[in-house]
Amino acid sequence: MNRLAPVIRELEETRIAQLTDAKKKSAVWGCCIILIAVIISLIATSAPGPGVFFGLLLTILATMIIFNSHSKRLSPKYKKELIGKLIEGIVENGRYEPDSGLSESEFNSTGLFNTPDRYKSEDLISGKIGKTPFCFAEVHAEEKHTTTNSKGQTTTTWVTLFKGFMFIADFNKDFAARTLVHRNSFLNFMMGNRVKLEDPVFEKHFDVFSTDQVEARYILSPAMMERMIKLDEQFDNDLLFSFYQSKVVIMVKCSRDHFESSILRPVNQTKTLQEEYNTIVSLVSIIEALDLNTRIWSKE
Amino acid sequence: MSATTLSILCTIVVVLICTFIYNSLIGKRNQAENAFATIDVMLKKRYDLIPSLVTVVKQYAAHEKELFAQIAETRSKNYADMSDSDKMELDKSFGQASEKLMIIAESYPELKASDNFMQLQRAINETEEQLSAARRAYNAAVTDYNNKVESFPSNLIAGLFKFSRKNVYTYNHE
Repeated sequence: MNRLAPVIRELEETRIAQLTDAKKKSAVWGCCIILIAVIISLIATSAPGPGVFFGLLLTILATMIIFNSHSKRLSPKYKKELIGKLIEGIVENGRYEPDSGLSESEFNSTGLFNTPDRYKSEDLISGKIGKTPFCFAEVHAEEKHTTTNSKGQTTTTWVTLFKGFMFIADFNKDFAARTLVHRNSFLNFMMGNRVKLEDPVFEKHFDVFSTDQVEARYILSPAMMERMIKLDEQFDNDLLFSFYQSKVVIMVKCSRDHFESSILRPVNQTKTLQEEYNTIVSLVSIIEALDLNTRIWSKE
Repeated sequence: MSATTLSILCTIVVVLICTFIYNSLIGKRNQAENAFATIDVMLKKRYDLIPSLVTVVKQYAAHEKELFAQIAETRSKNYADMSDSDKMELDKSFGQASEKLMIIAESYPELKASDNFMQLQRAINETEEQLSAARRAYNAAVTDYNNKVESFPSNLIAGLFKFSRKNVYTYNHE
């Protein structure tokens, strides 16, 4: 963290400057809005009350917009200079591309979800730990649900298919089939090609489906199953795995947006930085947890 | 509904259930046989590694070559002509030979550092992992089949058509 001190100091100064500017602008805009609203109210109703009420509402809205736009101004600097440096400290030669993400086709290739109608991915982090290249990014995939009532009115709702981190790493064995590790659920009975495995604890956590029964067991060796159980516990028993094209994809659910800044939150607040640091470390440590650097098989 | 119609309907339902159970038993038996065929493919891969193993020993640890006489002899037989028990024997003796190789490699640094040995070690690990997966797939298919053969009411059809229990693959190379 000491290495980051000058960056934090500089960003904190920028944040305070942006905050002061936002406060000034909000005050000016607020006064103007309330004044105009009161004048309109007096002309229309001869009473200032409604004008004050609507003026205050519009002022709150304008303040939110101003603060949000100033936070966005701080964001690129925060991401590039602070988060980028944080990643460099964790992964040697690690790369952080805040505006890039993992493609929708990559998301669909996992085979774990329905095809999304709305897809967004950002904050791509990539690198190599030992012999294992990896990348991960924040992903938000949603499905459009349209319902029509008896009067013929349609309502559209967006249902989240997945929100969190999508982590992709090169697997230490070569394989051609696709193997999916879903959470254990009685609803999975409709899916075909179930692979019944010997580990009762693993079977209690997950349901495995594969296009090749032998290859699924080649990937999910008894040692690998144990490692996956431990990893799952580490991530609050909410992981999904997909193995395809000699890669492992791990979906880590998370409702919060990471690596975002706000002019209302001090940059030197160690708790937030520590949380971001822990998130990156826990994701990168998946490679060690699954022992992906052990390359004793034909794949080097 | 007359008694005749009812009995015809009942007979149709019973025949349909029996057909379903019979087909399911056939499916499970074929799955087990298919899984066993996969073990065979993996055993063949192991068999193909024997010449490399013998060559590596001859090159770097000629004094130890008598330790590998048994596995070398196995290679003299054609794989296609081997019986199932010969193949099981090959599985066992290859397991022993590869373990011996790893032990003697500790005493022969030249052998341990050679590219041939490292390549062979990777290939042995690979086939062992694939073979282990194939054995596990076979055992899962056999367990599934045996459950069907022994549980009610499929055991009635299994008994009628002589579907017998299959043994799971036990691997012990001691």
